[in-house]
Amino acid sequence: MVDWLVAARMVQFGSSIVAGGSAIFVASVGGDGRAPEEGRRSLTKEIDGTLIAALLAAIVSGALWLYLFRSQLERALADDETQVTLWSVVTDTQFGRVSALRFLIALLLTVLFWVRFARPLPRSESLDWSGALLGLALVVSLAWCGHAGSGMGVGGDTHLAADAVHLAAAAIWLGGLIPLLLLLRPSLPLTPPERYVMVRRFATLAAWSVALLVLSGLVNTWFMTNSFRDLIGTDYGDLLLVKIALFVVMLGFAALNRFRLTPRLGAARTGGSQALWWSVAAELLLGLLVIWVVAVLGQTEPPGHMHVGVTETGPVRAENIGGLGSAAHGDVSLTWLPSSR
Amino acid sequence: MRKFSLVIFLLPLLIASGAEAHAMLDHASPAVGSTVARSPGQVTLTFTQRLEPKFSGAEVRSASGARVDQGKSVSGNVMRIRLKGLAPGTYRVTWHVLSVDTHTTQGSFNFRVGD
Repeated sequence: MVDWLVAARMVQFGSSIVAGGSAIFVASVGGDGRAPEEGRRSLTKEIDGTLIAALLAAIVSGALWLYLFRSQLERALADDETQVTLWSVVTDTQFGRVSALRFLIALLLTVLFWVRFARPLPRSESLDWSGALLGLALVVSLAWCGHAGSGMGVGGDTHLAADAVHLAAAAIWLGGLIPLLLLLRPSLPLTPPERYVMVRRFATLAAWSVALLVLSGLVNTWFMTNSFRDLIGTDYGDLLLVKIALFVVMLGFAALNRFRLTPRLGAARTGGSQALWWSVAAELLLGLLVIWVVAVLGQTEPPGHMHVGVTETGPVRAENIGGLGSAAHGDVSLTWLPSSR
Repeated sequence: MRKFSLVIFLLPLLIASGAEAHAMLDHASPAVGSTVARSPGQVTLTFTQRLEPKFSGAEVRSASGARVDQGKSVSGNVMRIRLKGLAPGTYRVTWHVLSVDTHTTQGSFNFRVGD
């Protein structure tokens, strides 16, 4: 059976990352003045088609996510007198307000890129960078839709910032792979050396993104788990290991592209991009699998939050229950979860 | 090779962004299962995450099932439930919350007024 919430989250994360990454690619890599104007314009036109498709997917999956959240909330509050309407979810929850803002950003970007796609406008750096910044905002704002957006104080702000950086870095690397594939298509009016300059530029951006992914992942881990032992033997831990394995293989392909296949492109007079194209395609496929794992992880309770709990009283932190003495008199019945200390 | 080892060491630290958790009751006043000498003016529930006020609430009932709460206020991760004057006896607090990361949780606990 399809878990529509996981599906909506997956499409939302994937399409936002592709849209944000593609917009950044156009402004940074595609804006390289050393490549001929005609080639850059052809590349931008190709990428704009992808951008528009990704933005439409983001709009549809965002609406579906909001609708599914409303239905879930309505079921959870079935015994309560509170009315759960789509409007009240949009106006009275952080998720709803952020979703509405993200919807407007996606709509604005769709119009912007559609105009650029449909009419042969002269290249405009300010237009490219405006699109890149809005695309980045579309991706980064996802941080407010999850756990990172629910913390408090300095710790909460740090977690939120780390999550935002994690998403931005994912967009620059993973989201840039589709434009990279388009850049490597032989039909584009670019010579191998011209392609090589652009590929190298992207490789530098991607390398920094990987470093940021690791660092922000470190901070996220600090907030989501108590110790690495928590990751063993839990659903969350198993999924995380799958994610790490996929990431390792992705890095392998990235290294192959950077150190073996890209120099080959630089040395070629004609062609030279076919092997690199297939290798980047494999890297992209693995990246999509990572996004799928992230979508499932988002619906899975992190182990750092599982080790405390009381079935009778609802979820409670163990160290803060003041009435353990009274529990012996039958005022409260405690049943610790299997992973409790 | 040393750089490669460092990357492998750091890899397990990569974790899903946007992973979500449920709001837990961090602590309550009166405390879960506790006995207080006099009627408290309110029950204060502190959770581990920020709450959505409109979709979070609680009720307090006496042993006979009569409601003794008089409205709530929610700010950040704290929910306060105002109470009528409570006679000695056992009371049950039943709460449900929506955390800002879109997850709902609920629970209940007792506290006692008097000896």
